[in-house]
Amino acid sequence: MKMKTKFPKVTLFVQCLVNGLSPEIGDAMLKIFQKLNLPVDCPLDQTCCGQPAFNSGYRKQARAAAERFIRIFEGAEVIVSPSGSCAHMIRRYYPVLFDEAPRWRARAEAVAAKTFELTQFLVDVLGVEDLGARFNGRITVHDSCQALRGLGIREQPRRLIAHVAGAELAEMRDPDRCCGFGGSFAVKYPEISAAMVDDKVRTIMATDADVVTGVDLSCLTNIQGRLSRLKSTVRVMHIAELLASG
Amino acid sequence: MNTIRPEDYTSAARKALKDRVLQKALADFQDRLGKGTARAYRELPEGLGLRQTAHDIRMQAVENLDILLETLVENIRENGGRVIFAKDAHAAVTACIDIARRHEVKQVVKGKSMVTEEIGLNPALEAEGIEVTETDLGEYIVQLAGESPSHIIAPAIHKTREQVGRLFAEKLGIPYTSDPPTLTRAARKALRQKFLTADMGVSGCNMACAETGHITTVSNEGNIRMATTLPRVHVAFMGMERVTARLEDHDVLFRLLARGAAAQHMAGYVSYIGGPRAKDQVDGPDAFYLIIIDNGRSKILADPEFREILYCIRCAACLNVCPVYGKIGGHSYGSAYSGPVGAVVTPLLVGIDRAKDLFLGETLCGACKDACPVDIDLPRMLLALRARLVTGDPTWQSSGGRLGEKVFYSAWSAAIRNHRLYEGIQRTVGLTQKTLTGTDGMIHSLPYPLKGWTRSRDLKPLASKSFLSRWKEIQ
Amino acid sequence: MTTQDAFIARVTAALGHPSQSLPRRQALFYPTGRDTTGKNPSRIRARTPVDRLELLNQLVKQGKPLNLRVITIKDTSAAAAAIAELVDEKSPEWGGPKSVVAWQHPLIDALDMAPLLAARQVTYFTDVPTTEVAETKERATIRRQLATAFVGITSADYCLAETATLVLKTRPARARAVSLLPTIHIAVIELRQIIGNLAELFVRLKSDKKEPLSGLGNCLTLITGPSKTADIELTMVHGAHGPRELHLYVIAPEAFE
Repeated sequence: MKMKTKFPKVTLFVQCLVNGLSPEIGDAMLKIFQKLNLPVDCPLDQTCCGQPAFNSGYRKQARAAAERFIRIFEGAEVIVSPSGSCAHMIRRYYPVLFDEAPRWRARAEAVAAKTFELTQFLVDVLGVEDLGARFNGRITVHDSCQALRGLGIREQPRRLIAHVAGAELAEMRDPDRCCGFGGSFAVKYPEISAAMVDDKVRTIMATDADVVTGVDLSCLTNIQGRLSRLKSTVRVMHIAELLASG
Repeated sequence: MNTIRPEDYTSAARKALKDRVLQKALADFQDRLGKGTARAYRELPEGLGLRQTAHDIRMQAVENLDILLETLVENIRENGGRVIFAKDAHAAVTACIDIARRHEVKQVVKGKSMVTEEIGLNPALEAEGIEVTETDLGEYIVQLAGESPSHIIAPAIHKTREQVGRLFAEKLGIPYTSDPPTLTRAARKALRQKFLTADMGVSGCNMACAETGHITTVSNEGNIRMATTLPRVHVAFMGMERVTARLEDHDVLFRLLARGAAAQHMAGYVSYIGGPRAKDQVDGPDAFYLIIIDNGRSKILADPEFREILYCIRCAACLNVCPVYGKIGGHSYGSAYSGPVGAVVTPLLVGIDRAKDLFLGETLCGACKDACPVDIDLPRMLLALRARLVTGDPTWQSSGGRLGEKVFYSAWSAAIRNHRLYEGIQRTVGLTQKTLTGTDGMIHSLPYPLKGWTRSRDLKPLASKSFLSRWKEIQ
Repeated sequence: MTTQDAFIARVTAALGHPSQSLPRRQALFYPTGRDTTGKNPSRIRARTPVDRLELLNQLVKQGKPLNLRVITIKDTSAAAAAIAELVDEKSPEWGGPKSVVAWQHPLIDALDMAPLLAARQVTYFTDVPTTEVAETKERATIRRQLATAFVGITSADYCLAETATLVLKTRPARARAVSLLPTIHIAVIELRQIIGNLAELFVRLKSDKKEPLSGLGNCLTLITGPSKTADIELTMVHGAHGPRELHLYVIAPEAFE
């Protein structure tokens, strides 16, 4: 997607998880946009993209959430989110939700076309890889499933980290293996989920990394939960926080 | 035979998670086969685009299935083969028993065939006093062990060599050894006699060719060739969707099947069988029967949302990469079909309510779609099954979702549409969680329904001020 | 309505087509007289010896990881000598006196193995009649020979270089079990029989009018390497149920010029 101006106005879709759990990620995004001289807007009445309902099969409720999202965000120039899974929901499944309603579908497709996950926006849309960030430490990247397979996000976070002064990238084995969150899966099938996150955390610890990062707070919260229970000193940072440091 | 049903998913999975031997076996084989497949696709001269070609070939076949079946059958009959149409498992099994009686069959040797698992052929034949011997090494092992297969291509992958060694020592009377070549030789010797004395050979059908009138059978061991050449009767079972229109389709399908199944370029043995032995040929069966099975497939065909699952060529590539399968193993699915393909096809065969754990118990990570040589969108169908569970659908035996969850999502929907209510709920939870937060700043224990999470994980508490409330203050 | 009619009608209905529409749609789907393979069969036949030698190289390379032994040989007498030596050094898997079964085939008949093997106390069975095998006793004898022989010698219709695959059509006097029951399978072919890959094979089988052996017959077998399995802990073992060894002799005088 080509931007009409060099400094597009970014409308922030902050994601319910970031909003309530880790607002510092939102702060980090503001700092990044400030560095790039991009004006930022953030609709106060935003809530949820509807993914939890959709994934559990509640399409009617998901549609209601989607309609609300579209109404709030469709006037934006570009919509950027710290959540790969939300960006995927909007880009891949919003049009599907309105399969039988052509006018809504058109509006959904228009919104989907201008919604981006943060690292994809920076690298693929703006062409920016160096944010002048500084962070001393060994970093390993977890590839969130929806972002990776749904949106093709794999190189973008790595290229951005490569330009973070003082940061050393260490790949874990099977970075693209699911962490076991899967939304309601983690609550409905907790033992299977726990076994999967345990495997993930052991591959993380084997890298001797100081920090594990990624583009989805849901995965990171899951990983953080297990790391914490194991009393590991590995820190969990969303990619935005990493890129805003220094 | 211990029968696990789809309803037993949670308890079976729990048991599998505690089985250290199984966990190691699953991790090892997924590590080897899962990665090998991805590499094998990339090395194709056509690259990954070949999967789209395969998708189109399968789509064309399924969209014209009635034409293909009619054509296949005409041509098989011209080759001297006999065809029986079985609308369900009972009809298929009955037809086979009739054939066995007519030909005075006492011993059957079998090649690996998932559709015969699906219809419960073995116990039915055994109830008639017919001895059935599985001849694929993995199937032979699980048969001796009184278990069901746990993987479509490698049925005994859940067993270690030591376990197989103990099994063979007990059942075959050989001295204990855990050396795979020695164990394989023991099976080779035992089964050779069975091949030579059996009256009837049973096989599946990998992918029939409608325009030439042949079924195909695929193996690496040679057991299917043995079972379909030496006994005097050959009965082949075919799920009705396992047919392609033209011979050249096999070029694409076999190259991808070999890579998807075992990261090979080509399977060891592929046989095109169109009928019994000709009068002037030296060997081969005197009679050939093809039993074509519906058993719920026409119902799947009639639903445009699920029709795509019929494109499956049963390579098990999805099993080899699924992180959930990699933890719970094939038995947890309680079905002939496990892994991601099983999670979609089993509820469509046995009913959504009964098999709901199979499609709910997946993370939708999408690794299966990437690994599928036919590029089948399995995650899309898993989501569609979840939607049918919620709305209810009598066609698929779905009575509609659970009340508690319905109430939850209604409340959620109300909160989502009213951002003040949404913020209010967040503030309330934020306040109450203070009592749950430990000195390290994490929550260690939560009540139902989040208790499962905190059994093995901590949880970061909600922030004292949400991002939006702070943004509001800045404005 | 027969069971077949009901079955197929259910499929037609599921696809949303009007009933009774099948014959019309079938005629459109499989129009007669149209070559659908899109490849020119004569191009395949017109390969030069240099092209074929390249395919042979590819075959040898592909065969290695499969444990397929490919031996390039100058002529039939060299082949016969090599095979006799191989039979001499190997021991029967199941013990007992050595015997060999073989197809009746011009290439194999030209080898004239019987005297060579007799000199090494090896019995050679190829007395498989070409007329209708009606007698049960005769078939039982043949089966016994096939089951006790430790080496089976066949030719092949084609060999696919890309995957190192032998293609065997079933014909009179060429038992299927010759390439299956004995522990060691020996195949003898000529250089000109090597073609590129599966795609070319299907072209030959389907549309080459000049190919006198067109069509698949009632049983066509593709053999890629000796029998194997990895069902125990994914450990590769050669020799599951089919032959443990596969030796392919390619008679290619062109390679010795």
